Amino acid sequence: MNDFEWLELLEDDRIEISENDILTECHVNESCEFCDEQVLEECTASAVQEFIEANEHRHPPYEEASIEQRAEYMKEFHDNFNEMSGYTNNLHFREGMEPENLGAFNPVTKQIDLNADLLKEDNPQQVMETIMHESRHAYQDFAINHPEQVSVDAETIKEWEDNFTHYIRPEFDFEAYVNQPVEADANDFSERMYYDGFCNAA
Amino acid sequence: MNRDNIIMTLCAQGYPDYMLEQTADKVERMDERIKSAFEKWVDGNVIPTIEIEGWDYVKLVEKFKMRPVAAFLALDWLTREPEKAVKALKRGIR
Repeated sequence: MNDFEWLELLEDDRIEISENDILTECHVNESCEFCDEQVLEECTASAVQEFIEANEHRHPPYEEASIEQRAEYMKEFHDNFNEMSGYTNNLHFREGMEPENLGAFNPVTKQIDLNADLLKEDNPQQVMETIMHESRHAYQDFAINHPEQVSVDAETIKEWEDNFTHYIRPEFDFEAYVNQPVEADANDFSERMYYDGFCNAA
Repeated sequence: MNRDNIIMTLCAQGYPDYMLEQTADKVERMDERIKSAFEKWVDGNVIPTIEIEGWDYVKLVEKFKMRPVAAFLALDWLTREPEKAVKALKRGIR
C-alpha cells in the first residue's frame, strides 16, 4: 500500500484511528507569510544538527527513551523547521500501518502520518529522514497552493502540480515511483538535510 | 510479444492511462532474461524464479503489493541499477 492508498483508506474511514496512536491529532495551521526554500533548508539542517548535538545532554537520550518520549522528541525536532514548510501541528504517529509504508502526507488534511514502528529503532536517522521527506511534500503542496508565498520558480511548481495529478504508485512501477519529480525532490531534500546536519554536528 | 498485447496486459492490471505508453516502452526494453520470463508468465502464468540482489518476483509482489508487470520491471531495474534499486526497495514507501 502506498501513500495515496493509505490516505484513501483513512478518508473512507476504512482504517480506524487507534486510541493508542501516539500524539493526539490537532488542527493543522498554515504558518508563514513567505516560506523561503533556502531558509527551510537552513532551518531543517540546523534542526538535525541541534538534535544530534543535544542528544548526549538529553534525559533520557533517544536510544534509551520510551516510544512515547521518542515521539515527543521527534515532534520537537519537527517543530524546529515545520513552520517554514508552510504548515504546523501536522505530525502524527500512526499505529497499524504496513511495515513497508513509512509515512504519508495527506494533501487534504495537510496531516503527516508516520508509521509508529519507526520509533522502535534506536537509531533515529530513518524516522528523522521520513519526517523531513513528508515535510518536503507539505512544502510542495504549500507551493502549489500558494505560489506567491514561496521562492520556488513557477516551472518547478508546475512540474510538482502535474506530477501530483499523474502520480505514479509504487505497485505499478517502483523505479518510476522513486524517480518522479515530487519523490525525487523529497528524497534529495531529506537525505541532504540529514547529511548536512550530521556533518555539522560537533 | 507485440505492443498491443503489452498494453492490454497493463490495462487488465489497472494501470492508469497516463502510464500505459511509458510502461509499455519499459517492458519492450527489459533485459532479455526478464523479458523471456515475462512472456512465459503472460502465456502460461509461469511464476519466475529469477532472483536478483536477494529479490524475486514473489517477494516483490507480497511485500509491496506490486502488480505482476511491476515485479518484472523491478527485477529489470535491479539488473540495470542494482545499488540504487536495492537502496530504494530496502528503504520502503514514503
